[in-house]
Amino acid sequence: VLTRPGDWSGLVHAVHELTPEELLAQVKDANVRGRGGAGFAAGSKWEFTRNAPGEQKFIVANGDEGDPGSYIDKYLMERAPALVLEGMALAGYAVGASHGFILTRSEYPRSKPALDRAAQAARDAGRLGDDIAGTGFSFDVTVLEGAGSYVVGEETALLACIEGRRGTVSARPPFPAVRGLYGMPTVVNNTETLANMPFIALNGADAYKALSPGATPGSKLVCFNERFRRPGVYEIRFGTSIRELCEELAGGMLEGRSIKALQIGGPLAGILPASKLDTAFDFEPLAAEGCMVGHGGILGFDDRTQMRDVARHLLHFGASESCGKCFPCRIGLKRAYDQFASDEKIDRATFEQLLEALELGSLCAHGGGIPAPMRSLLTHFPDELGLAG
Amino acid sequence: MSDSVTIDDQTIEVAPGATVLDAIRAAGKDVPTLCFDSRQDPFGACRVCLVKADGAKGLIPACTTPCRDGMVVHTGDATARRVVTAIVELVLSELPEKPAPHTELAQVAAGLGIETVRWPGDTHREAHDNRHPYLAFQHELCISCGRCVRACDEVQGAFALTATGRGFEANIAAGLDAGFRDSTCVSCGACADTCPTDAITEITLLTLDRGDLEEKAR
Repeated sequence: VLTRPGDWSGLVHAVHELTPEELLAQVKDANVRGRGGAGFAAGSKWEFTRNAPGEQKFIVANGDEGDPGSYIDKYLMERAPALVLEGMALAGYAVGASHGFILTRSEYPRSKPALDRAAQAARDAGRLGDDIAGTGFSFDVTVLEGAGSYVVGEETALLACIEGRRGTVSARPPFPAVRGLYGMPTVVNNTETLANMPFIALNGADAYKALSPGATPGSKLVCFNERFRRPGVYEIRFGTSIRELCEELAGGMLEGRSIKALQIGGPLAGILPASKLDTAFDFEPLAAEGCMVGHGGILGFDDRTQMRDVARHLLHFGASESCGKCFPCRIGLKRAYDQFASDEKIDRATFEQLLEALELGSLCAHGGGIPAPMRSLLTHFPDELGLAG
Repeated sequence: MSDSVTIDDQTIEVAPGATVLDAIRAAGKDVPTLCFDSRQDPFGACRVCLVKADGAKGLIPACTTPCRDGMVVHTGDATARRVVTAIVELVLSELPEKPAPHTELAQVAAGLGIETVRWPGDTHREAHDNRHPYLAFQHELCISCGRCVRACDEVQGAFALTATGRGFEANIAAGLDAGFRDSTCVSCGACADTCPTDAITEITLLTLDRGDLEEKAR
């Protein structure tokens, strides 16, 4: 569904056969959960944007994929760019927007050219631009590159970046659906989320739900790191056991190594020890283990990995990528990193007090999210962290 | 049309669009703030005005959260006080010296009863800029609250100041970081007026402090 190249048949079908309201109803019924990390219902975002007052509305595709070890959006933007652009046009049709922006990373030098080529081909074929397929619906896109910031993947920072401002987070509300890009109602969806839409537009919500019976509807792209025998991007059904994903799809760890733990869904996700590999890959079962689907990157740590190194590395990433706006994240992540970077023993009680301030105090999921893997490590690997007492 | 909001044990009516902080102050209560200045748009960066609201997940910043009808807010919530105290300790830990007693930061820290910090570490490097005749930077005292930038943008409309850097390196700069004189600064002093730490001060005050003024007068 997600790895085939887009052929714009979903858009052509939608603009001829469905009213914008009917398309929105299908997307809501399909219960598409956002694939960027938070898992928010895409149909609700579309509905909020559609109902928000504003003469001009925008669609923003978030291709600022910064999770270490994730290359799902990269795959989509470079191998199936038309599918992403088609999803943006469908969002535009459903909510009443005539322009979309897609922001990719400057660290992905092939993504912007691939998207630009796909957009031009679509314009040449009459799939983007004015009066698409003679229906009066007009939609075009602008492809942009970021400037190297993880936090710009957060939606308010993403909008600031597109506007040419500092890529820092703003308080919500107002949510982008009400006051987004240039102050106008804006849909912000992850690229993979949008890549789901052509299938729904063409085949309907029921066919989409049938892809993953009994679990979160649709399919998910996951990718594996280099510790696995067969790293790569795979399209999977929700509800599949994580053991099956790691051992059958990715072929297990490299020769002679075994899985010690996994971090699924990005650096702000909890860490799953090998003893929990039979957990199902879906939102609720992973949440029950303090983990998440997130964006779908699966990082395997093999039996040689020292978990204090993992903690130090995650905190270094967190401190380096803090946008610097809110105080707990700006200062707290540096303090946490400095503790793990030294050889000193770490006092568990004060470390947990710092995690609480980060988790409950931070403005966005960056500072608020790093405590999740730290808590997993405290729970499953306390002996490896160099704790005092 | 007005919204009814309960602050601790007191229920008051607030105008639509009022923030939780507006309601708290209208009820005669208070919570500490560092990045807030009533002359500017709320910014939501310092997280020192966090409070608990019934039904809301986690804690909410009073300054940027709009009131909802029927909202029940607890300004003295134990978790909120604990988190806010930790955050102000973190702020104190980034400065090379204790804030001067007259500064807002010192007053907020005193109000929370903070005497020591649990997470000491690197502090900001000393960097002074006295090239402008009236306004001086002491960058090591900057806590990136953004008040000077907003005073310049929203109050004076001069757009001379900007935030720079990210993470722990975040700070402020005038123009392209070439000092106030080579920026669009109009010397109004709104930045120094709002600064909660003396990171930007008026030169005359600095001189007074050093006792130089009397020297010059003689």
